[in-house]
Amino acid sequence: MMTMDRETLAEWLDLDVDGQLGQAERARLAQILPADGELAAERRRLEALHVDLAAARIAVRPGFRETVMASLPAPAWQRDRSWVLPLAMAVGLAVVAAFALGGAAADGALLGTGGAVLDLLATTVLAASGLLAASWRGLALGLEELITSSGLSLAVMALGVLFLNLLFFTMMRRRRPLDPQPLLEAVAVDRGPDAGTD
Amino acid sequence: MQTQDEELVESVLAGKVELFGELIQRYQGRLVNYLNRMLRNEEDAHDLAQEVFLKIYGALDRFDPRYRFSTWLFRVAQNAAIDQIRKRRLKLVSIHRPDDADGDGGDWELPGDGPTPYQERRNVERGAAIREAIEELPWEYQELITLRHYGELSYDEIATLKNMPLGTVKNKLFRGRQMLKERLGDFLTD
Repeated sequence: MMTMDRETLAEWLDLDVDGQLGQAERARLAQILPADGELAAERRRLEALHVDLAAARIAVRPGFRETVMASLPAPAWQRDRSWVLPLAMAVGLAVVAAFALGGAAADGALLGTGGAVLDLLATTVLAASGLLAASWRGLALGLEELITSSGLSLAVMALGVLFLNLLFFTMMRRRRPLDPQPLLEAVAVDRGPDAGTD
Repeated sequence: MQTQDEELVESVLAGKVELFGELIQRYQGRLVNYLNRMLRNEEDAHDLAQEVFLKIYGALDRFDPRYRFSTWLFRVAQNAAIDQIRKRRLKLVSIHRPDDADGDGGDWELPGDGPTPYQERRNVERGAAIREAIEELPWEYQELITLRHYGELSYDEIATLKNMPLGTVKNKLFRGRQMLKERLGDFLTD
């Protein structure tokens, strides 16, 4: 029989005790074990380790499942959406009716209502941009007056701009990557002088 | 035959919400134990396990059935645990006494819950030794040992979760257990 190196045997043993060794390898191991006291002892230690690891498990709090079930929220996928279809149909009908009535009212102009809606939209956009421009202009005038009034005002403004920049910088700073190692090092128990000597 | 997790998810999404309880039943022990190892606190582990289940439930429609439910659940749990560790920055005290005048350190006499029989005391010591031995492992081994022995994930599931080749998972678990065995030495059940 071909001899196997100890490392491979140890790996097989480890997989076997964890229930992960293939059938062929398990049969082979079963042949070797009775004649190898050292390997048999190693197997017993591994089995003991598995027992101890399992024994260190904790029991789940009684009623845990019921507590979770009782606090289940109504998720988005479960919410009632029965109003969506009727609403969509109503909107569709309204659009069709508007076009039909508009077309009938405006002599030969099928897009009468559509044109009116577009006009309304254009007017709204124009009004909004006018308001925006006026606001910016007003702000610019106010700032200009503030800056030119005194040196102190200028300094305060400069400080304000600096703080604003710092604030934006802080807000834009990206979160640290999800690498748990530094965290665990930071929170690790101080294990005394023997720690980390392996 | 037991219904597959993925089929249960489908049923829950179809309106049988009570079947989510079956998923909780299947995973509560594994999840709580996994989180207990990560957070080192039973109470926090239960609270976070509950949060994870609620989070999973809320996002159930985003579950991709091409993947395993267990892998998804543990990925969410792992991220939640890391977030929690980051938030609270665990502050633990040393169980080692500072060196005395002779230069000999040693462990503090930790108060117990009262007088216990020898065997119970031995079990408590063994439990503490296991916890300490796991925590002393390098992170990559500690994580895999925790997923395998407390999350009770299969090697395949761990490989998927950690995005590692199966061979690497086997090797790391083997090395991790070797280290544990050496460290636990006298404490292993005889």
